Amino acid sequence: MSEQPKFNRGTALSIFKSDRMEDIMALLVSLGIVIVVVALVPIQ
Amino acid sequence: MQRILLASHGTTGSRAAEIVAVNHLQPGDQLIHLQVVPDFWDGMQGDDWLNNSSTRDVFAVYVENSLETEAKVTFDRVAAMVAKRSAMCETRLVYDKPVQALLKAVADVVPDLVITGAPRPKYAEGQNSKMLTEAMLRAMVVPLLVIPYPNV
Amino acid sequence: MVYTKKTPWVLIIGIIMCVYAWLVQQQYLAGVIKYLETDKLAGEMVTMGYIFGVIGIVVGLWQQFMQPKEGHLDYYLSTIGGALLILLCVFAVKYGAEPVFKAWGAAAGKSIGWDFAKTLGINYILLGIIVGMIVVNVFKVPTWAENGVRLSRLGLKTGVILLGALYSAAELAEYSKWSIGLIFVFVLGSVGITLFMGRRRNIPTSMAGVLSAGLGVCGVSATVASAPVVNAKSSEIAYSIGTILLWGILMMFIFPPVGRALGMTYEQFGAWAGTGILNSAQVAAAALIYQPNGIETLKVAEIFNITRILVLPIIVLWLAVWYVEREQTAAKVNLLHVIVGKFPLFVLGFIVLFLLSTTGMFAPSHHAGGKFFAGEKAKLLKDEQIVVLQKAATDRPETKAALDNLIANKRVMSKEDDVLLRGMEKAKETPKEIKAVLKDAHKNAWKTSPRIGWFRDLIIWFFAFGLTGLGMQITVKAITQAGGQPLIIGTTVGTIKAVGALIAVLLLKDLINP
Repeated sequence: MSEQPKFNRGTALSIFKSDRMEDIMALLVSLGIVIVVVALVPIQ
Repeated sequence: MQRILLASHGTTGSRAAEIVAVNHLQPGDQLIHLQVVPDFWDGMQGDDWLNNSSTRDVFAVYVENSLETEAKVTFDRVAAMVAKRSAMCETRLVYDKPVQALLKAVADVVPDLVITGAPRPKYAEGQNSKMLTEAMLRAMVVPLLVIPYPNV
Repeated sequence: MVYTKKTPWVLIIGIIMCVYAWLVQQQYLAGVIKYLETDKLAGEMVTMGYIFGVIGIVVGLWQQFMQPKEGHLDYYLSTIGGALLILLCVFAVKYGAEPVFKAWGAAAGKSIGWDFAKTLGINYILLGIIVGMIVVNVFKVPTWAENGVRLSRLGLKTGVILLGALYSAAELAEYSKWSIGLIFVFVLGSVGITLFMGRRRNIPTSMAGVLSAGLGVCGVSATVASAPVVNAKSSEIAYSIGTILLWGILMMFIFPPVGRALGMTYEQFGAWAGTGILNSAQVAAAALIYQPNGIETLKVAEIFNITRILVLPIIVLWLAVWYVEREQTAAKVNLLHVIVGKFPLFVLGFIVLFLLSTTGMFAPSHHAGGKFFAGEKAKLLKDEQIVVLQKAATDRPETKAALDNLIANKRVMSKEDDVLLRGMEKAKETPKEIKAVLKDAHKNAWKTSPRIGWFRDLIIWFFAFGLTGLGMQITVKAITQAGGQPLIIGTTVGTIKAVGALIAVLLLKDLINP
């Protein structure tokens, strides 16, 4: 039975190995966006 | 010596098929017992983005293990009955669409006969994943025996 | 393993986007844009088209002419194709399908008296999800795009984090007060009803466990989290998840038209969706379907959502304890392990951004204090508009006061007035011409800081991306597994929850305005 392909899981919903990793990437992306917006867009 | 392919996954309907299949066996015959884990389990891992993957991994391992355990119970039950009739038993557990899995198994082992249970009646509970489709019947190349759902 | 699939499609999508942006920029599509009334979006079409078009062309060329080697670069670049496919869907529904439906709806409104696009709330978020579902269930996601579709969760999480920048402290306090109250009542209520119904109908303890988590907290994620804890059987899991998915999809499509028919305010609808809808992704979807180009509904709904996410570890723990009491075979759970393992880290980002926003980093600190309301240079309403307003009637004294204030000063004088008058503007019974004047008054008073405007647009893009990609993960196969006792119990509890939340929100109508 072990030679049968198992379910494709773990990465079925996310490209990252763990959810913590995905959360951290989301935090980094947001940080990048905040920096870009604050640097480029005037406040009023 | 004949080779019988039994497609059953332990539900009420397929238990009736198991008994008929075993009664068909002569000493020295071979029974290939096929169980399919339907591919809808892919979609069961969530559409929900709040799942932690640690949670999801625990869940996936859990589902795999329980599907395997549940399958093993059925395999063992059939194997015990087959042994009593001095026939041989081979098991196959496949993760696929039910129809594809059956046709692949037929192409692979080329049995003399395929035995399976009838679809469950409307009121009975069970998974909603069908094996006895028209497409399957068209593609089937060996005799197929469908056992009626037992009156319970 | 090398993940990059050699396909011309990434390049082709890149070229399509660039050519489209160029056509818009060169005014070749001016006629179409004018007909579809999408001129406001023209700037966005050009920017977005060029940015993603260039990415597509560069990555597409790289995939065509380089031999990708196994490694991070290959892996992450292999997601670009799917991401661009989702974005192409968003482009198509936002700049094409939605305006077309709007035009058809308007035409139908004239000829048969029923503007179906407006009543059903057909907009690009809804269409994006539907397109995603069609792609996965009818055509199947192409293999070169599979990796990218899995980026949609990242998009949603980023959207939620950025959303943190848009709350004022007062709003957050007010919303979270209500969300904690309502979520507490409705989560415990539905868990309780499920367990009660489960006992009456004699279903196994484990099935009652998964169902109550799924119906009570946040849908599939709660079911998935609790299934191993309560030793659920595979058929129980299939039934429960199928039922919850079915309900999620139904709710997502039913809530917005109902909300519109009842003339709910954005805040009310957000609270209702946040309480009554099972799955967290579908809460966001319903909120954005209700208000696709603004953020007010989403803001309220997400607060409810986040409250619910934070409740999840507690419910799982409680279920574990409940199950251990009933079944001898159950394994002991480690309390700390459950809480640490299930805590959603990205919620911290939301909190950090909210804290940053209170420092005035994204908008001037006097932004909320009234500069734009009582400012010297504020635009005033015209005299004929004031005449229209004098005909307006309301039976709520505080709204009446705000209205009188507006008539006397020809402009909105405070944030509180603004909120009250917006409520009146959204109310169903308010006549059209009065609505138009109130809208103008709000526009004159309210000036969004450009940074906030950018955040708002980006957040909506992240959600549009994430929800379209999420549509591509909704498989009908899984939904058709709904059945058995879970379907009966799920339907009962789901209906009670949706209707109960609706009643609660309507009763709290006056309270929920911050």
